[in-house]
Amino acid sequence: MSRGLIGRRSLLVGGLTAGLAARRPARAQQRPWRIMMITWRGWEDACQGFADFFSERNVPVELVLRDAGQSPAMVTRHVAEAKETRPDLVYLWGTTTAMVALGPYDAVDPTIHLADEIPAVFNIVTEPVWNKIVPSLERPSRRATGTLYITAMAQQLATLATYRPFRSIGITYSPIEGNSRAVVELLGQEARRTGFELIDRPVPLDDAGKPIAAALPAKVAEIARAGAEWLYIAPDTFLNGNKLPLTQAALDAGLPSFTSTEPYILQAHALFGLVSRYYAVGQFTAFKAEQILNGVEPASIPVEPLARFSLIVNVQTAKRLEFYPPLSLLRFAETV
Amino acid sequence: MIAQGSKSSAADRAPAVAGGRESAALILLVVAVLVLATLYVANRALDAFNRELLPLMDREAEAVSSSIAATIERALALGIPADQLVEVDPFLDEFRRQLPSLGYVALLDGKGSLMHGVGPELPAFEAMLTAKRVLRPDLSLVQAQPDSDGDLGGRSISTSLDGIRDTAWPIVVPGQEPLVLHIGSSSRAYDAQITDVRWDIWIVLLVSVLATYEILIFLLARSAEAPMTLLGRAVDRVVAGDWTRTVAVIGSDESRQVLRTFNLAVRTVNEAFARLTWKAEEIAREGREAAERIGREIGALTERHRFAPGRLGRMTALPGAAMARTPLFIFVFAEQLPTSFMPLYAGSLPSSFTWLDPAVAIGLPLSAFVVAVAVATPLGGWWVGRIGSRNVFLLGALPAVLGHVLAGLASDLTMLIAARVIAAIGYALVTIACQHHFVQVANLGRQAGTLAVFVLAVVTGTICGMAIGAVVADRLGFTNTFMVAGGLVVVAALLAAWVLPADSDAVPARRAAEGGSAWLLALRAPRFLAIVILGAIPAKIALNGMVYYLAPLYLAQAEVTLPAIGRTIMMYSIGMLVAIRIGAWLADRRRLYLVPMALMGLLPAAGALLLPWQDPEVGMLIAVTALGIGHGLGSAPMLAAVPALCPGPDGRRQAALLLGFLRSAERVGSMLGPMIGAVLLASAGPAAAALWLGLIPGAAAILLALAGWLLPGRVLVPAMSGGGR
Amino acid sequence: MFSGTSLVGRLALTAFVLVLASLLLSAALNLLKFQRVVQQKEQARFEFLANDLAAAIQDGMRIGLPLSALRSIQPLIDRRRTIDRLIDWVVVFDDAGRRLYSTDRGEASDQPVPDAWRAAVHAGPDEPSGPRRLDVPVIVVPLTNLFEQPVGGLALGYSEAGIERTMIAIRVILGQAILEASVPAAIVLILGIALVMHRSRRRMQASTHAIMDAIGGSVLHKPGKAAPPDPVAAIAQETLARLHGAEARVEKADVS
Repeated sequence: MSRGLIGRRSLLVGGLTAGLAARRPARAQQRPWRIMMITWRGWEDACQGFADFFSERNVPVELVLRDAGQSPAMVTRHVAEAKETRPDLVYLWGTTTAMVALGPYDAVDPTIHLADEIPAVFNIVTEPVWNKIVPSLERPSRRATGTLYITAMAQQLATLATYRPFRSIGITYSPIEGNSRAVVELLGQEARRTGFELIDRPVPLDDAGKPIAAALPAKVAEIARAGAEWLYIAPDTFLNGNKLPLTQAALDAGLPSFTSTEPYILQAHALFGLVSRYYAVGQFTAFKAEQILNGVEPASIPVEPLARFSLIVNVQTAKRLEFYPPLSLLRFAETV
Repeated sequence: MIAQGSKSSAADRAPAVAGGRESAALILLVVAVLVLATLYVANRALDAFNRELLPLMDREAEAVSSSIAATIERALALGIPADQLVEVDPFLDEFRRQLPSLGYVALLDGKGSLMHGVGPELPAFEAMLTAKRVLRPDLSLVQAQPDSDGDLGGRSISTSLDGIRDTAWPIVVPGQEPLVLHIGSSSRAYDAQITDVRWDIWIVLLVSVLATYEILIFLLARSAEAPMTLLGRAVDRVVAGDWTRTVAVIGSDESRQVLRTFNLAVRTVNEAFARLTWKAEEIAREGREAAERIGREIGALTERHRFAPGRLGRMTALPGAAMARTPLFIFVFAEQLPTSFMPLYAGSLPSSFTWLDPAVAIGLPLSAFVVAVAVATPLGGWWVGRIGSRNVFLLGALPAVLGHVLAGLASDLTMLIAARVIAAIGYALVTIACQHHFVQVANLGRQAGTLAVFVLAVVTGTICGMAIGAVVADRLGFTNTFMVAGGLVVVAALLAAWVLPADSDAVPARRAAEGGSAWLLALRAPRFLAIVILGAIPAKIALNGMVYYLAPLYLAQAEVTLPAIGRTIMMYSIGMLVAIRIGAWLADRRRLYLVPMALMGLLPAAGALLLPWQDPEVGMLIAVTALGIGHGLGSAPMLAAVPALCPGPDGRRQAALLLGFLRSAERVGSMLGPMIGAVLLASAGPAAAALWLGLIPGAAAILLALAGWLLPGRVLVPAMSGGGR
Repeated sequence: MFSGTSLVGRLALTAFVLVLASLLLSAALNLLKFQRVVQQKEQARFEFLANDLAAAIQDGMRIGLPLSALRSIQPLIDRRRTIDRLIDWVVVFDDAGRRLYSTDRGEASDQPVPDAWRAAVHAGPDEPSGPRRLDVPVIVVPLTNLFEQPVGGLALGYSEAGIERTMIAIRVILGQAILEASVPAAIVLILGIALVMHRSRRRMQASTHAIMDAIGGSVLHKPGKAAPPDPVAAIAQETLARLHGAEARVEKADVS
């Protein structure tokens, strides 16, 4: 109250600001944009979000769908087609798709990679820098940009601690997946930095070098016995394929589980998740795509996560474990 | 304390009216009624306020309750058992922090025992609980309500416990035990504002009392004293045998009656004389002897009396000092309204002086004012000689009003500076006009008390203006305060137009001392120079730098409210008022000049040294009051020292020259004050600036004392035997 | 001015005006302060409510659905409006200014929202985000989507009836108090001033009478009478006596 002295000018701002006007491009479009969408495992929430963004804003786009059916070779084939047909933009779903289509930023092969001929936008990609898709998140420095759907590890763990402070975390994963190894490494760094114990138990491999799904429950139980307070679930394709047994095992072992991606909590029994909804991520990716289509250079568009993430709590799991979230968390959390 | 205008002889003869005791009793009576009535109304106002706050507090509690309850209801609805809610306290505290007027937030179970609670007033609530003084809503009634979307306004129950308003909000979820949320709103959050209101009431009272005093004095002077003084003078004439004048009939009914009766007496006497002379003439025609005898008779009469039948002159009331007092009071009051916030206001305006540090730019209006006054004053002095003080007053009111209005409407700093310069011209003209008027009154033999009247009017006006200006600005904003100031100047001008005598004193004022000769004189008087440089100038630097410039900024930055700033600054004038008589006594009776002048510098330094150890409001209060007391102690001795330094035949002329020089030097100090303060502020921050500003006069005082010691005779001002005032 | 009034009248009137002015001044200053406190309190409450509603709406947007597709908003704002009678209306609008949800169905529902609201939603970068109070009793809270782009806003219009009611009640009490204080004050002032000035007035009246006596009856007075205490009367009488004496002698001169 007392400082109504200085600055007694009215807050009222008349008229529209420039920012408002700039977001309604008056550009007359003669034809719809053509976007080739290379997906990994079919049409998915993120793709829907991407498409809906344009239809809501009445921006005419023509979407060319090319699914890779989880095969890198198919991705390369679609890339070749793109270089032939020259769409205005290429959309890439998934870490492997992006890596195969774009190639490492320091070793681009123009014969098989997109090689800056056509601008590209990627989403649902884990650790783009670690995976050498872009050299830096702030400046992709190549003709491709995208969005993050997982927040920084430090942030995840900070959020986890608001549910309950912890002293040890366990993780199980497929050791042959690069994504998962990256996550374990990051967790290890955080463990050393903030002083909690990381219980690292990868799934054993069979003779063919593939992870053994049946070993999952035992591994989870082992983690629980070793004294872990939380089970951290990484975005791992193997785990994703076994999400129900995984989370059920955690439940049986009385171990609370935390995830950074939505399938484990929306479609399985994980307890707590700090996730971006794929649909929203798709929209955000479309927002960046629109900038590229309007002429902004992808190299200058930063790779970012959403500003707000969803906190999701599975109440049934919480009840089974008798491990309830604090009220402050419950205020903002979604419950499933 | 009324200007006793009549000489002692007339006072004996005229029927004493409104003598000192009566006017004092009168003023006391009115002031008592004023204070009692105002306090009564103020108390009723505060009571009403506290009562009417209750529904507001209830609504606030309901708003918060429904938010808190929503999450708790959600948790319960999800099946989480009530006793397994996690981290309830931090959750409740999040809300409590959002609305600081909440004393506690507590969750009670269905049986009324405390499950969770946060807040500083929680212990008090728990005590109330155990004493079973807390009301709970009828849970069975709420549970029976099937439609929870209905008007939830009736859900909660509010009760007033000691100083706390408790609102109970039921949380009912089917299948779960009912809970009750209690929110306590305390009026403690308003205590700060209520305290402000209480202080403001005292300020209003102070202003009202002083204004009442001034106005009643004025009224008494006009209605009772002036007529009686006039009568006294007339009676003097008559006693001396001069029956040639009647008196103007002025004043209240009773006075008029007396005056008319006097006139009747004069006329009667003159008629008697006329009759006598007529008869005498008639009879004188009859013979020489008779004529001689008659001539002798009449001669005997006219030796001791004078008559003028049919040609009676008229005596009018002479201007009294009190006439100019009230317009001056109102004018100074208006002038000082913006003092407590001028630097703050200047700081809020956009400045085109981007090359200047903002702190210095803020000081420009203050310094510009002083410079403009210095320039306009000689002009005013010359003008007064031409057209008389009344006209100069009225002419000066125009720029004064304009200056205030423009200052209020100023859109940037440059306009404010221009407005202050215009206002300064008005201020200079009006002040000169009043000074001249008072000098004329003094010249007509009413010297006693004239200077005191002038000073008192200025000081009371200053006190009132400083204090209430801040309150008005707090309520109505800066611009409106300037408008009020302008309006008051108009009132002062109207009053002056009515009461000041026109043109009767268009006497060329004494020519201002020629600058050159004053300089020469000053340079040849090292003692005088020491007083000027080490006493007068630092004092003005401290006043303008500390009180007018730094204090508002310092206090505002410490988040002190505007009314409190006004009260603090006002203490300068009060300190001065208290100390000025002591200072005069020290100079007159004890012939002490150096000691008070040294104190004039040492006291502010002491006050400034205490600053870092006090909380800002108290510290600045002490510093400002010390400054005021110091100045009060020192100003009369300083003024008296000047004539004491000029012995000899040409003493009076020299003293006049030096006094003029002193005034100009003080103006330099006044101009430098804000600038020095600004530079200190910009380079060292408010606390250090205040400290240094206080130390400057202190250091100067020490040097002055040293100078006094080192000078031959160990005395700064040679004692005058029998001379002086 | 007031040329015909008595001293007591002038003094009493002036004193009463001064007392009344003081009462009115302190009442006005207090009222302004109270008004500010009450207003701030109410506005803080409405800001709290608006923030609450906006947070709930933004929670609903977390899936990524556009503002226009959320079905939970209408019941949410209706409920809030029902609970709190002092909320006049709540409107949720999108970036283009279209009213998506409103508690005020029907009226002006196809009018775009005022420019001021949209401007308030697009605050400058150096101004704090959060609820904006406009110069009318409306609070506007910007709504942003998950990638911090403004998608619209929530406008809450509140009634100042609560403030008005409170201030009217306080004003009434103040008015009563002023009346209750000024009537006794007037009486005390008149009586008191009359009492204080009594002696002076008596003296003046005595003077008047004495002088009248002196000049009226002086023709018949013998010079030896005890001198009246009033100096004017005394001197008048003395002078008149001398004049009459001279007149008498002049007449005698005539006779002889």
